[in-house]
Amino acid sequence: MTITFYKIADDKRQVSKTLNSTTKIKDSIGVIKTDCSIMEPRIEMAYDSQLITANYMYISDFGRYYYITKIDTGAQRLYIESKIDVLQTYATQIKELDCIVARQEAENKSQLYLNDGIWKNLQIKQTVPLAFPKSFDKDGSFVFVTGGQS
Amino acid sequence: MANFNFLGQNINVGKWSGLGNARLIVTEMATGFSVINFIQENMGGFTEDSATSIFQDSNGQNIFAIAYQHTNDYGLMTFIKVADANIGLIADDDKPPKYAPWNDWIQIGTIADPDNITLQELVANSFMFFQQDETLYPYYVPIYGLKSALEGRHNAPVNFQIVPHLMSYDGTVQVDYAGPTPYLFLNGGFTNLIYGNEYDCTDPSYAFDSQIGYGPQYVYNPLYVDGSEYVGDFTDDTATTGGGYGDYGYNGNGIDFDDPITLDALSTGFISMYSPTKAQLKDLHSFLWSSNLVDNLIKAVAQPMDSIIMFGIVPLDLSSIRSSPATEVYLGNVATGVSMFELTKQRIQIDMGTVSVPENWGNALDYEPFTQASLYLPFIGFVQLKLNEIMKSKVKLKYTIDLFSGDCIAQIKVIRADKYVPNLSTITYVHRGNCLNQIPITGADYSRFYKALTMAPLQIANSALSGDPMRAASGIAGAASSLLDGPDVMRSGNYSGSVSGMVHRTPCILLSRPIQHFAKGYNEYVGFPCYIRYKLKDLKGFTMVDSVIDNTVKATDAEKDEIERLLKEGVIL
Repeated sequence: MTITFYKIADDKRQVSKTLNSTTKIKDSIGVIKTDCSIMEPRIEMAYDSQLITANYMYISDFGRYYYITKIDTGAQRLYIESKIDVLQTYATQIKELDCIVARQEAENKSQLYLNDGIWKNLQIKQTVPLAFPKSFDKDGSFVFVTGGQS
Repeated sequence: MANFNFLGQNINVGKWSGLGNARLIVTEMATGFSVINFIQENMGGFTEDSATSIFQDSNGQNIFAIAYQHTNDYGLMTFIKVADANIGLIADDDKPPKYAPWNDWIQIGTIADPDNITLQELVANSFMFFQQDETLYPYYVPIYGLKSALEGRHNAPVNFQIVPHLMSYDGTVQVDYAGPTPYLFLNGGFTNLIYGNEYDCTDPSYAFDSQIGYGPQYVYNPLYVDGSEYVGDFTDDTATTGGGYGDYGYNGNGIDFDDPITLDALSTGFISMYSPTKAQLKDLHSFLWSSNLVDNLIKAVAQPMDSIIMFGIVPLDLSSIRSSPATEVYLGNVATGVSMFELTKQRIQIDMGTVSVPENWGNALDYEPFTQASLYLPFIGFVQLKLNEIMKSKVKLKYTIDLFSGDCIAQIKVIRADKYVPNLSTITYVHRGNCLNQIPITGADYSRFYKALTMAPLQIANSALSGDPMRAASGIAGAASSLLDGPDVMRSGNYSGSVSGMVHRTPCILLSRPIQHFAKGYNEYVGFPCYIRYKLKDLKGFTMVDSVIDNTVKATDAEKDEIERLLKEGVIL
């Protein structure tokens, strides 16, 4: 089966990986080494020094993208262990998902008045006086109260 | 005042139009210039009080702008200020120094007393100014405002002043024309000094400040000026209905300041209140300490000191409730011959004005438990305020003082109108104190003297008739002693409440505010609090999901579980 190998530098949390001619190493042929899950397939293929640097691959037969987790060599062969990248594999569908979002990078998509523990502050505090515009009279007035006629 | 019809709405504008949620927003450069022209064109037809325009932003929100100038000469119009819930000042600026210092600006609109606007109130509102380029008359250089680094949200703190004056705007702020030390004035504090260079305002990577809420602030295109948080494109799911069985939206009806009750002690006619001058008090002193025989005979019989109920000092100017001319003071039924200004009210209200409590960070840090507030009330002391009740509000303070006793109450009214608290205007705190410094009044009491004087002959005669020379001598000695002792001292009242004369006389809100610690790019790895429902395709950057509404991804169960696990840990879209 045809496998496309990449060398990517994306954060694993990135839903859509950078897969282009720059990151692509080559297409190659490999076979499933033993019975395995399609989430963690093990591939056997002819030795190819170019593939030693690969860290990502696409198996067209499975229609899935994989992180390469381990590469072993021996007798002109390469043994590749991998783990599915569900984010890239289902990127289009994932982006259509309707979710309650707990945290978001953009201010305008967030609710900054929520306190969910993100807010960090120094122990130092600023004292901010906000004086009212008027004061009591500096000179004052006498008040004289009497009983009787006026 | 003028009536202005725009977009089918008849807008009554003018100095005191008090429009709610007024804003001036310029969405792009070209529009910006057309807006300025629009203002200019309209100014010709208005009085010196106002010139107006109204238009809509890209979200369909009506935008209102007002400008001010002395004449039709556009060259005089330099400032426009747009404040929350009102339209603010606009000063003219035709005399050197060419650009009025900002603390000379006043506010018009919903603030009741424009002559007494505080610095804080000014800071709490935003402004923008137009700059005339002297070399390109009548070319105006607009500085529209500041925008958050991240698209969409337009933060509140957009006060800025750019000094010196000559600047231009073409998508960038070319501060290299601004002289040796230009700076921006943002939300009550100076940002980094900007020297010489030209900054690309469309590049969100340049920040004046790295703190959220307070910043990052960018000179950005489009730029907005707004007196409060811009809500036009801000989305959240703050519930207004659902999730409970409440009546939703019932905001109460508010409690306003009340005048004191009409009836007071003066209404009874049994007492009189005066606010004497020092000279009038000196006359009263002379009367009470008089050695005049007739005065003292009258005083000995009528005991006028008993009619003095209270004398003291209050920290108030009572000239507004003094009747004129002065009338003669009677103590009981004794005419003193002294005239004083009578007071027409027993209780007086003192409006201490309004203070705006602005957010600083524009996030949860501006509220409890991070920020706390206390209020200093003269003659009452420090009292705690629930900060969450006053933040982003106007706090109005009135004292009602009973001049008879010096008792006072301070009433604190909170006014807020925004997205979350749409219509609050109510008294929320009342505190009690006393502001009277009582002073005793003294006078000469000749009653014992006159009694001795009238009784001595009788005592001597009785003693003589008794035939007892010792008793006669004793009677004579007693009478003589009473006469020689002189008058007693009468006293009315005690000295008390002296603290009222020594306390600080200006009320003040004290905010205890935290300093935000926010690592650069923290939001790119941790995100801001959200809890809003979105389609993920509408988001960019770091996103952590609380729950997936309906996982419709066509994948195996294991894969779907993995997707949800990763979404809950946080992904980058």
